[in-house]
Amino acid sequence: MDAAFFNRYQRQLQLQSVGLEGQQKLNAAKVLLVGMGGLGCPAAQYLAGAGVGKIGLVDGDTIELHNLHRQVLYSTSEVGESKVAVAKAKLEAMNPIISIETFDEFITPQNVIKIAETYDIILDGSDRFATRYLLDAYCTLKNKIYVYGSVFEFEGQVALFNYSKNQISYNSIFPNPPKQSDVPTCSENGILGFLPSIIGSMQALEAVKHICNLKPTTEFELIHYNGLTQEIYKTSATPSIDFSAPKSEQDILSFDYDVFCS
Amino acid sequence: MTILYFGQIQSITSLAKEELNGATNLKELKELLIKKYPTLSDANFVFSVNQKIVEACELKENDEVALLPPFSGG
Repeated sequence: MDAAFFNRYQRQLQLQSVGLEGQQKLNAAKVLLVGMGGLGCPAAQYLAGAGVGKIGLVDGDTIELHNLHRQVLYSTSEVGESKVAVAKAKLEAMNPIISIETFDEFITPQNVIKIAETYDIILDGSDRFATRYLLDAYCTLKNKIYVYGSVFEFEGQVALFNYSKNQISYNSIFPNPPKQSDVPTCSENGILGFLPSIIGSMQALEAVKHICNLKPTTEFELIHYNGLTQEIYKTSATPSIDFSAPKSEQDILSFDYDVFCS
Repeated sequence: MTILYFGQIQSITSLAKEELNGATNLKELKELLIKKYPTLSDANFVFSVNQKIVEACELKENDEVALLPPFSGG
């Protein structure tokens, strides 16, 4: 830790609840971001800015012109380029003293175990139910934190699953997977850029609060945000046994999450 | 009691919230809601009663019940 380290993180070191101890926890943290779209871009920027020591980026997509209004890491001249490659370059330019690993592919039951192996926290910036159930199952099996975030028009949801002792999984809250075709995505229903930016930032905040032990409660909370009314509705749940939770890596490999959500 | 509708559920009810009485438990409320909004029977949501997700419970007149659907966008 040199003078530039203290200078870079000065404003968050000044926060008594973070301090040097919190900063060291952030530097030791390993967060994997799945999906580098509307949620993943702001989450990655703030996690990199905060000094999360190792950040993994997973996305097989290339940048499209209609991404730019909400995926604020990318520029017009980069249309057609790999999202994770461009994101890595931008994030490293912003904070060169952290490590960024990229996976230019989509997450699947076949690659999740290898890709996520070294990470403690998985932040879900995907836009598919099959991916959400897969990440939830993986985190339940490996006892990792699953940072859920999703948006629908002017509303968004955020929750930390497998947090602390509550052991509540996404699957235990929503045990009946909706058909992907029944729930419109941003590409079908449209979205203003602000909404995923707010929800992605909230996901990053929840991850940092967990890393630095700043969460005021160990109770499970599902946060529902409404951007039109600026209202937040919070709900809790009682842990229940998730009978469908995977018991081995083989359970994940042999489960068809696409069929489950169709 | 007050019923709150979120996300895709609002496009079925065309309302964000309403007062509805006559149900003494969650099962009765679900039947009442489906009678009022038949397409709700195909919708995917969970109930949150007084800010706690539950599958079944008794209901009182001053309870607040939210219908929470999962979202998928990112």
